[in-house]
Amino acid sequence: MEGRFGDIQIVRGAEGTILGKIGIFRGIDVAQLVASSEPATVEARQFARDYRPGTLLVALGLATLGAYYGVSQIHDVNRLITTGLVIAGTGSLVYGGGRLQNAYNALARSLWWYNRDLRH
Amino acid sequence: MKSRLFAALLVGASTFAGPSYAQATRHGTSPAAAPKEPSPVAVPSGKPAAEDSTRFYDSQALRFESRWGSADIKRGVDGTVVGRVGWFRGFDVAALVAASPRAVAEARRFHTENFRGSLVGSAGVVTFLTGIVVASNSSNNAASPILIIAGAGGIAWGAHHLQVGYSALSRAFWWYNRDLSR
Repeated sequence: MEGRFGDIQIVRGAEGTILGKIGIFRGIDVAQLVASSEPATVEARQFARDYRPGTLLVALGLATLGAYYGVSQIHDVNRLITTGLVIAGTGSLVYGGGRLQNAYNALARSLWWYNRDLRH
Repeated sequence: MKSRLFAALLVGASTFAGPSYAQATRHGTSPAAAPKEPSPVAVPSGKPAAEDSTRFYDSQALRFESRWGSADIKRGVDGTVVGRVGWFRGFDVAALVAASPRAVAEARRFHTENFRGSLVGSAGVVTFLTGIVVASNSSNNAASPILIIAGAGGIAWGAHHLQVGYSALSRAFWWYNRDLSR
């Protein structure tokens, strides 16, 4: 598993053959890739559960902070609105980041199990 | 108000600059909590080498899991934490994977890239912060956009090196786990 400008590449073997990429809008089916190992499949499903919501929440958080910046340029804007946007944006960013982190950790565990069960 | 935006952006940056993209609060199932793997009993008889290999892997194989800007190095099925790496954290990964020469080479690469990424990323954050503060206090100061752009560039460059570093760490553990019991 290797990072590459925001994408994750899943590579196989000593040669590092690229099996697929996992990015914001695309991705291979990891559960199918590791289907030969039951624990790996469980973790891959956990990855799938957390990855999409995490990505969307992070994007939403960034958009909300962008909206805050735009609104804050308007004179006499209600401080409640700007404060709300900052809190909502930051909260969405942090929560989404947490979900993404959980997703990537589940992916790491999935590959760990898959590699382990290759030895049988 | 701008400083609040900056604080929010910093939180976001720390989320992504960490090892997440090469790999928290743990909501997921740990290997120990995942459905039970085929036990040694389930291993077909007549394959003692494979069984030994699996047992060794279960107790010794390494992996890492990210944790808000740092990463825990875990060993075996139980996920015992054997060390932590992250910004300016000096855990000696090369010594941990010393049994595998290729893993050591990747671990050294991780060490170099992690230090470089931490340094440049931190300098970028400081520069970016300074630019924001200057922009907040004197909107006509020509230095502020330069500082902000230079800082953002430093953060991006640092994040890139961190990403390269954690990819090397991932390979280091792959080689180490591969060489287990050989």
